[in-house]
Amino acid sequence: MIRLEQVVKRYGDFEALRGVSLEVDKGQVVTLLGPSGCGKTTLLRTVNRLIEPSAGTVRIGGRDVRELDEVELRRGIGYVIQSIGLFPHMSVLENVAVVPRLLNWSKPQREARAQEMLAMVGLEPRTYAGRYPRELSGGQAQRVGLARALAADPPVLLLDEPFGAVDPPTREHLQDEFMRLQSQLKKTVLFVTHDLDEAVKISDRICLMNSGQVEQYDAPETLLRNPKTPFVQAFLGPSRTLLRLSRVALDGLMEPPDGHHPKATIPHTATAREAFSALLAYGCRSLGVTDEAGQLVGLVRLEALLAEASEEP
Amino acid sequence: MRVVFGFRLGPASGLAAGLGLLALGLPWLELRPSRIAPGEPFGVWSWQSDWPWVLLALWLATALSRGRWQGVWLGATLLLWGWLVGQGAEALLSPYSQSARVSPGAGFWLSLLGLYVGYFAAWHEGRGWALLSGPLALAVLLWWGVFERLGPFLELEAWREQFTTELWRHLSLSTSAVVLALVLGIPLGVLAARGPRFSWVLGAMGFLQTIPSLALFGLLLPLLADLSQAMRLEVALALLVAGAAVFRLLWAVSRWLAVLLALPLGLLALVMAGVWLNALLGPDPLRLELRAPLQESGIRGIGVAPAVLALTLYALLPVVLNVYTGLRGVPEAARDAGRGMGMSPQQLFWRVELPLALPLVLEGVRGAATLTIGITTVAALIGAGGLGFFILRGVEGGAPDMVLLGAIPIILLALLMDTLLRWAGLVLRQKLGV
Repeated sequence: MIRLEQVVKRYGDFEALRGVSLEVDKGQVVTLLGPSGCGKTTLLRTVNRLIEPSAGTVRIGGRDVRELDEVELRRGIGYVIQSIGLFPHMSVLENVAVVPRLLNWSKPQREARAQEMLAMVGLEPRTYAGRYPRELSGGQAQRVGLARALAADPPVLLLDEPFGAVDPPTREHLQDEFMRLQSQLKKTVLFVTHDLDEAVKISDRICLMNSGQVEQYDAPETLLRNPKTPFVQAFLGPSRTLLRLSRVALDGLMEPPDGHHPKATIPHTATAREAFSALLAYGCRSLGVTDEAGQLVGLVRLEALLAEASEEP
Repeated sequence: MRVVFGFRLGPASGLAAGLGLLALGLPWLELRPSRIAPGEPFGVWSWQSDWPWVLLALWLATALSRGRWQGVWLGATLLLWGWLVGQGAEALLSPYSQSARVSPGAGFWLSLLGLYVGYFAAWHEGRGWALLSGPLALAVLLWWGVFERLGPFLELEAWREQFTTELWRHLSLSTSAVVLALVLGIPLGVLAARGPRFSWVLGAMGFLQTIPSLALFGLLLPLLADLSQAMRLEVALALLVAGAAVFRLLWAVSRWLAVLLALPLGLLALVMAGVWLNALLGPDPLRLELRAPLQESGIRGIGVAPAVLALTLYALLPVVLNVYTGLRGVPEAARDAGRGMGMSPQQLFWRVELPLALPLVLEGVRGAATLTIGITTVAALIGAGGLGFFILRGVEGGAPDMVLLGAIPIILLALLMDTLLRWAGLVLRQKLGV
């Protein structure tokens, strides 16, 4: 869906992007991850032509973005930034309805859609539609930003550290909301962040960048299991195995209970990492797994977790 | 806030009372046997022995009171002061003939200043209701006619018709200049805000401001005089149309040449627009005579033409500066989001940047308007009329009351304009949520 071919961006002598090639499939969430200054935001902004590459091509749906009028192009791409950029002189409803208005939708259509979007991001339209940006908390404002980006139902979303400006608990909620929305809407998403945990949590594939180049481009499990370069290894840090385990569900590691009565249990929705943490806490070698009703449905052994965690080929 | 005998004394209230008390010791009125003879000063104690003590007590009460009570005491002070002035005028004038005059003295003005500061202090404390007593007391005083025996009022009676005409001319000149300053200044401000390469715009505006007004008038007079006698109206119009076309062509080739061409033609267009706008708004009729030199259409070397040109140029800086600052103050995040969502530059400007810059633009209008009302006073010097006419006549003829007849309305107009626009700005800010 989105293809970047050898994209280069120079500012005078400085090369912000040194020939980046990337392909994002339809319906996937790809995260551009990396330290400050690695070029991830620059790369993101070449997709909606806020930045014009010095060399290389950007294609969306097979078409070179330079063929389209840049204003038209941007109306078909949802764009969310860290500082949100809500318009202070417009109400929440008017903010969300901005792109539909640019696309000349009728007023009733715009308002209905805006209310629908607000509900979708978890903001009750009756309460929030008439409010102004200055009356919103950080988390609420960021949700409005997301609603605004989704209002015209664009196939592509560009998100530049959208959850960076809020506190950690709110950030978690927003990430969960985003994942819920994505499972519903299946947009093609390019997401920029410097937070490894965030990237591992929400992405289908992670593109780890450094100094304008792609270091590794893989699914999170693959990236965490097999870091290809010393930079990647260092970036992922010593806890990467635990991080990888946070994406592993218990279903594949469970055994039938067979009459065992384990000392402690965890719900079946937990991740392998949480199971490991519980095993450490209780100091035992196996944990019971319960369903919604609290009934024991399986057993997880330390050995199974260790086997999963192992990087031995 | 200091404590005096158990009462809280604010600095502003204290200042107000101080001024009022000081005024009691200074002469309030000057008695002159005729309009232009020198005056003999009289303090309030010379025509009343008891009431000034009451006034003193009232001043103290205004200083030591708070909130609504302060408003009440201020109103009472204003009433008593006004009444005493009226009494004084009566008492001093009665032994003399009709030609005698009584003028306000230092104590009169100081009392007014004290009242103004007092009301400011009361308003600042947050009690809007306190201000009500002011207009009420003034209305009562006017109804009693306490000021009617004072010199400036008598001058007004004598010159009533001309006063109305000159007031109208003053307003139409100021309005025309401000309107033109907006028409010219807003685009200039937008240009200046485009980027650091346009900072020369602000520099040019600042330079204009440093030229003394009289000097500017003096420079324009001979230029306009020659031009208006030599050039015919249709020629001037044709020149402007042709100039506009050439400008467009030249802009693509060399920007500097284009600006060089635009400058004199732009000024000519400005003069013509100013004179005709003023004629539309003001008491003097609009005349357009084709096949005749410009001066037949009202554009002369002296009078409205150079006046309105100079006034517009002076009013430009506040407008341009405020448009520039307003646009620069738009949050960068909003701009980035707007662009990223697919707003064209025009849409971004009209839907995001301008609404957010509007409060500051209004501030610029306020600054330009009050500035212009003041400078228009000098326009009378070059024959454009306006309230400066009275000031000049009064100075030339040695009649201070006539000077006041010109000066007081100008001050009141400027204050009124300032208050109105300030209030409009507040309302706008609320509506826009900034």
